[in-house]
Amino acid sequence: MPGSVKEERRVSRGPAVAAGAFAVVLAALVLGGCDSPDILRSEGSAGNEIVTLAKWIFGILAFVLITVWGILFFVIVTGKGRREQDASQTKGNLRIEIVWTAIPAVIVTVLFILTVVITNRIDMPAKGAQFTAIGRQWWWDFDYKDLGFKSPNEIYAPVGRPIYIDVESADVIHSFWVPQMGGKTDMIPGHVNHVRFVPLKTGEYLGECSEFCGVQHGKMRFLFVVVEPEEYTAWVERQQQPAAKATGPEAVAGEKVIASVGCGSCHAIRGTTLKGTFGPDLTHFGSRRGIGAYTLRNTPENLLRWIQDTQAVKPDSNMPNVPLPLVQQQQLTAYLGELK
Amino acid sequence: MSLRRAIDRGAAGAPLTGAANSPAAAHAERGGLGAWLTTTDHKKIGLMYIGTALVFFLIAVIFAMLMRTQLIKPEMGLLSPQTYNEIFSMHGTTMVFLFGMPILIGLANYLVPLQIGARDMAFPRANALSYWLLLFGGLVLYASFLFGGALDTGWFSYAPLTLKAYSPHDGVTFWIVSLVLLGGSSILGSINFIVTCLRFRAKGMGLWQMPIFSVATFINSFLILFAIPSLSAALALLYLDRQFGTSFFDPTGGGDPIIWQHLFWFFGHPEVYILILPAFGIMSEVVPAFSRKPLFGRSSMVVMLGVIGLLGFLVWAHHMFAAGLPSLFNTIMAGTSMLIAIPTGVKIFNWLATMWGGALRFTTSLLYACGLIALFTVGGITGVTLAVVPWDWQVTDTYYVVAHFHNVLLAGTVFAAFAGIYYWFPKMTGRFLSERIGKAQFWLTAFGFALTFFPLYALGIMGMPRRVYTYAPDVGWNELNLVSSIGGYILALGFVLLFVNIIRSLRSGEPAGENPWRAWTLEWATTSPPQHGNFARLPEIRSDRPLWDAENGYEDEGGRVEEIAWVDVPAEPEQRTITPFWVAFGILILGIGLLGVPLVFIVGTALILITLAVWMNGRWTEIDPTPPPTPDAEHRFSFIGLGTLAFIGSESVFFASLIAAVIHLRIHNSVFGGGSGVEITLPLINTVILFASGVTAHYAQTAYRARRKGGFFFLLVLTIVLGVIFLGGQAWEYWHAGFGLSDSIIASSFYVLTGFHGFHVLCGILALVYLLFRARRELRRRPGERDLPEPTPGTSGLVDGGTYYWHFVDAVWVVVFVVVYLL
Repeated sequence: MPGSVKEERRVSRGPAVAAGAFAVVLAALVLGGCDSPDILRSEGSAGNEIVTLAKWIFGILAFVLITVWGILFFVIVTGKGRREQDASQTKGNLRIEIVWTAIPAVIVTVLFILTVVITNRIDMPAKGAQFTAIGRQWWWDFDYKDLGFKSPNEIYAPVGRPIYIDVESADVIHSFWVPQMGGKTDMIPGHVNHVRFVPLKTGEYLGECSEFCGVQHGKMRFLFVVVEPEEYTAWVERQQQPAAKATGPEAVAGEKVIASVGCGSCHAIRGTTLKGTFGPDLTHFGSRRGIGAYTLRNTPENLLRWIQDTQAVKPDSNMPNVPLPLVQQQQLTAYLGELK
Repeated sequence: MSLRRAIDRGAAGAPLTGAANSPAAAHAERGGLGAWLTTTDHKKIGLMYIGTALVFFLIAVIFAMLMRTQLIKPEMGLLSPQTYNEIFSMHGTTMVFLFGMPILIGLANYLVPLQIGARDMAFPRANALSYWLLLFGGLVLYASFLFGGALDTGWFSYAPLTLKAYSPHDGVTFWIVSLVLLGGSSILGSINFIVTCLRFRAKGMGLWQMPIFSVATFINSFLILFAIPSLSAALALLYLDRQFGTSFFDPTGGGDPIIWQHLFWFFGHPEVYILILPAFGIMSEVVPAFSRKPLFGRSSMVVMLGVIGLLGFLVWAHHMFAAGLPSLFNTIMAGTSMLIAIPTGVKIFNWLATMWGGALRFTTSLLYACGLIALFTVGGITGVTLAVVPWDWQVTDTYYVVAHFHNVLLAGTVFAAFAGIYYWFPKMTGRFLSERIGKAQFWLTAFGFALTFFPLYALGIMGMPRRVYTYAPDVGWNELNLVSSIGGYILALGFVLLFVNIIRSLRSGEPAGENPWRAWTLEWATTSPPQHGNFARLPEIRSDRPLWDAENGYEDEGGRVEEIAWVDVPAEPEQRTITPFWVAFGILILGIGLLGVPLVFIVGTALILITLAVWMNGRWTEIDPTPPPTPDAEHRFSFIGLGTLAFIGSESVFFASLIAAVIHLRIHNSVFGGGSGVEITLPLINTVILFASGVTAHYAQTAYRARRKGGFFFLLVLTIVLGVIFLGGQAWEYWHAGFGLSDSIIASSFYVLTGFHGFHVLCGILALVYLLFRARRELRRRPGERDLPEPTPGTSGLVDGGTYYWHFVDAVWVVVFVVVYLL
């Protein structure tokens, strides 16, 4: 019958098209993957355990998927041309059904055991936190209470040493996540949760808020910087210092501007009259790599853009546009840039 | 190639009923808007559900395309962050509540009575009310766009983001009111399905022999019944937080946002199964019909539906693995979540085994079924990975999860719904959908699906969080997002074809006979579309495939073949009424009042009371509901009593949710031993009074059954009086409590628990007063009789219902009393 031949062709073309699509997707994945905070390119102790776990789990489950697809392919191919009177009228087979209930049960048991084992391996013993991470709409306050400074939106950590963080929230629920270090931990107001892992390789890693927290959830990021222990110690010492005095002429003018236009109602700069707590501490702003919860990289051009029109870069964020003459904006930029 | 040949060379549609009713005859009755407003016919209501669902589907697809366009490249400026957040929130809410549930409930509404050989649903008017509540709920949700902006906190709407402090505009409040209406609609509908399946099956059909889609709907109704109230409780508390200044979810006032997550997911996870079980039911109809074989392992299929339903209530916290809950709790939830893979896997294998050795007919319907098996399995597998706690820590709240749940809901629920639409469209309209368009639609949607969502798995693994309105250009997500967006357009094109096909085929589709697919369940034993009352005659039912038996004879275990006889079904005119519409309208007005307009609230309440009185008054006594095929006397429970019991089950979960929240808050704040700080003497006396009323209610019921007039009226009035005294005591206590609703978390808990209980007592009293009037009127019709008349099915059932409800109010009080006054 011509009709059925035509139809057969149609059926067999489908998988080919789908396979082609997959090839495109895979190619795109390979092309695009190299800059991403890919959890499979983990450099943290917890993340590494999870990658190992994932290999096992996806291996086992791929076997299940291939089995199902294989059977489906077989029944389609064999069942297509069959005449109705040749269709078997079997209503079931208890033995087979027990088998295909038992096999998934075994698989699930294996997966469960793997889950428990790896969960326990990730779980590090509790210890006093080195600092507190506080989620805010829409930035991160990293409060090194014992050391006496705050480092908003940027964490330094010594490589190979365990890191202990208490995470909290000052407003709504956020979630702390550095994909290449390990899993997420929610920051829930009224609760203190704990993050523990060992960063294993120096580098800069992207951190992201991963619980929807309002209008600017999309631009709530931070940087997790893993450095050699000596460099970490130097960083801590630098952060403990109060803000540097402005030196360049523009910066000196900027220091006056920032004190006079009301930045201090939200921001603090230690060693100056700015004492606000609603926004990020700017004491060592110039040393940081990002602006606006790592919305932009910290370059003079970006900083000027941010100061000129915050609401265009990060609409509805809590930082208002401050209408100032261009000269003063440039002076502010110069001053903030000097706060290393 | 002609469609018929594709199905089965020419043999389609051999008339089985022999009745002289044609599609034209069924259509001959008056149409027009009035017919839809006043209908109580389950088929019309089903079609309204399906039509409404498809309209909302189209809207939600447009939202999805807006989102995919916004994400097509980094820093795209199509949507502002605020707009994007509103759109993704409305997309989710719409797809779950206004497309997913209504399309499945609509199909069930149309098909369950047909499949079980009933004339209609157990409560046709309540069925109409369910639909109107759905429509009005949807309208309220969408009205928010006109009043300051829609929901922008996600369909899960985690507190405290939803509190006034962080979401001052009314989008959240509209959402609350809408979901309360939709929840009411679903609960009412599920009670209707449960009673219909329990009591309105054709004679000879056992519960076990119901067609599997009806079985799935039956089981699903219990899920709806027990899951929705948890959401309602959460919404009630959120509403109080927003409008009345309590702080159940506000940590600064002693509340705890984690309660929202528990209550929401205790509803939310079963909700996922609510969306998938009927889909499994459709699969289990379509696969056998187009494999020309019986369903393989039918019993295990039914059992596994139940197992999935049960397990669905034990896995909620797998949505909260990152919330810092105790490790052991996470592990238990991981285990129960993984267990669900077993029954689901069994279902997949049973479908494959049904196709194995079958004579496959590759209609669009079966293509979608095969597409589901191929793609849903991927979703199932990634679902298992999400139960692996550490992997979940990494990928939760990323695009991996987005890919996963679209993989199960789109390639699962939606594909199954499409399979069902292509399968049953001929029954509903008398015409086929075009198979040519259908096949194009299938390949576009299957291919579009893979292209849209498989890249999203990769994006999640590459660290892209979900619910972000844009992303930076330098994090390596650009290419995959582009691919996904293109896939999205292809997918949307496939969806558009469905609408094209429906519109085209309604006018010029190839006519289908009674049983075009030569399937074996009862819906195919009548005209297409069926006339009111559904059947002119029905076969004797011996197995789960009555039409197979009718054609080939029933073969018993000894191998003897027996001819099947057909039994005539008397015709019955449709009872039209506008009342359900007006009741729903009253509820809508009340809902609008809840948005913050007390006067409107009062008007709404009055409207509800008036319309309900009209509803209850009418000629309802005699004709509606149509009594079930077997009289109440032959059963343990009257069918109205059964409906009440189902409702009580649902209400129990509501109170359990509130009480769990209150106990959680006590633990969270370490407050024990003092009760709520109110004097306990009065509540003790009140308890005695309420218990006494329980006793009198019980003996009133006994007296009614024994037809003792005096005893019945006396005890009923006494029960009412005791109930009123109880409420009076409660009011006195409020007056003298010395603290207000929002003074402290303990004060709020006190008012919420006693308040909701008191409200239920009030409703109980109204029900009892109604019984009083109704019984008196029945008596007046027969002047001179000293005893009560022979109990009519209606009144007798209502007496049962009223009594059960009153006992429930008593029972709840015991728990409320302990929690409020003793803990």
